[in-house]
Amino acid sequence: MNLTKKNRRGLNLSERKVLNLILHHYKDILRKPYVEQQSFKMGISWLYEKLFKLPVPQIFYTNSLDFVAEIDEKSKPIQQVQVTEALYHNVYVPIMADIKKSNLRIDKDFVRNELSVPLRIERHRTVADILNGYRKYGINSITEWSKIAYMDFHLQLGYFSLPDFSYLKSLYCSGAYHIFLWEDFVMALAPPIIRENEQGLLHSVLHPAVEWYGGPKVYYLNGREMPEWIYTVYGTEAYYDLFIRQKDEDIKAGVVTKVKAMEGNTGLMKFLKAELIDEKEIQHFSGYREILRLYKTKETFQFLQDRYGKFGQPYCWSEFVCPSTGSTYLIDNSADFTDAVEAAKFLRPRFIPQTFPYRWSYDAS
Amino acid sequence: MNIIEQFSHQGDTQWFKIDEVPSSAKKTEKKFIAASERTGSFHALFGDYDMYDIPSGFVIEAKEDCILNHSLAEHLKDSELTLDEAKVLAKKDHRHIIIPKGVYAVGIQQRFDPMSNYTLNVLD
Repeated sequence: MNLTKKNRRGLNLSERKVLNLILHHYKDILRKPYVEQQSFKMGISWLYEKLFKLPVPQIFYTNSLDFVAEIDEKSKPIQQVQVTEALYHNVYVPIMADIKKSNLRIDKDFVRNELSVPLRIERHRTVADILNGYRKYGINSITEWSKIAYMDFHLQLGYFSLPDFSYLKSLYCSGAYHIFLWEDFVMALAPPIIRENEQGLLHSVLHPAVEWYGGPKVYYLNGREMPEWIYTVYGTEAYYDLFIRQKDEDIKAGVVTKVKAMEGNTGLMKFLKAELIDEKEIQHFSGYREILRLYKTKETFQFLQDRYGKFGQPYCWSEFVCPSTGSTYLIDNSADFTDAVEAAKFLRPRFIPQTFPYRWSYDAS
Repeated sequence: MNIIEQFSHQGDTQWFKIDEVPSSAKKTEKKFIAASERTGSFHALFGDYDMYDIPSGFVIEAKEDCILNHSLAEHLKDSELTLDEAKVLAKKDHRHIIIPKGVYAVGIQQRFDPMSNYTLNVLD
């Protein structure tokens, strides 16, 4: 049996069947709104008694990080690398030996790739990064799933055996989203509330895109992390000043997305104190149409110049919509433009002459 | 530099087909086309190609179909992939694009700063 470079079509019937079962099974676990405490305790007991040679710790189930500092004073944290090393020696090395013995050549990326998109492993990696920002010692169950599922797939097919696999699976697949370990305590963090847009990107115009009740929270718009002020300062006079001073285009796009979602296009114009100067639709390659818009503030400002160095100009923006994320970007432009396409051409890299036509011929993402 | 086509873009990285590598272009080691310190993301081309520095950008001579990825630096580290292998990485925001064999000038979308009267690369 050689699974190297296999794709789904290259699997035999029983392999395809097992892969589908695994996929549905892990999707079901992801939907679990609670931790199966008995099963989780079984996994923790195995980890502590058999691998760490420590007594079974006290387990807390929580949806906040409030008690972390308190527990730190009572017990020594166990770092992620200690878990990884213990698993490596006790689980992964024996499996690799079995694989070597049986001459199985298995593409590790294959099961990982088959699972990572439908289970949105990458999104959970982002959430794990957020938690790591608060507290470095935890392990994220879901980001470990590609390894677990990889083993599960081959175990179910009978390609090798691992007597302790049920314990390992209990540890990672009982519904505990993130696990913090100390020598005497374990804290199992419940899954967060995750909000996303239609493309599956972390996104919410009203709430944090990822939050635990009473715990950490982070804001995202169309997959881009946003500062909290986009939500808390919204509706005040200071919001416009923050927008005008902002240099980061993604954060500016975040403000535009928020205002547009809350107040519509008319509200956005009011917020920008601007008017639409021109709008043009461009037909690029087949299937990609783009609407370019040009805006200017009604007011002019003595300190603003156009590209010819003439002072006393309004603010001016070219609007682009990202075909991948749907984010609307308003890019600062020179206020002498009156044509949306000419204005867009000016924002291409400097080595492109202004006279060169604006039309993407191949692909855009 | 003779621009033939406004070819493709991935986020703020813009690709233009050109007829040949300009004589003034200076060959350089392969590197990210753009990277964001804030988000840890990057745009980079993976595959068999040569890269040259030009003012305000790069010239890429793709010897085969290459993959333009927008991903996170940590995914690159995890995958142990090098820029020499034409492989698709887990995407950050923008899906991957196939860049066919050919010669391209690559640059970053500009923004105009009305305070200083300069055009600058957009920031993200």
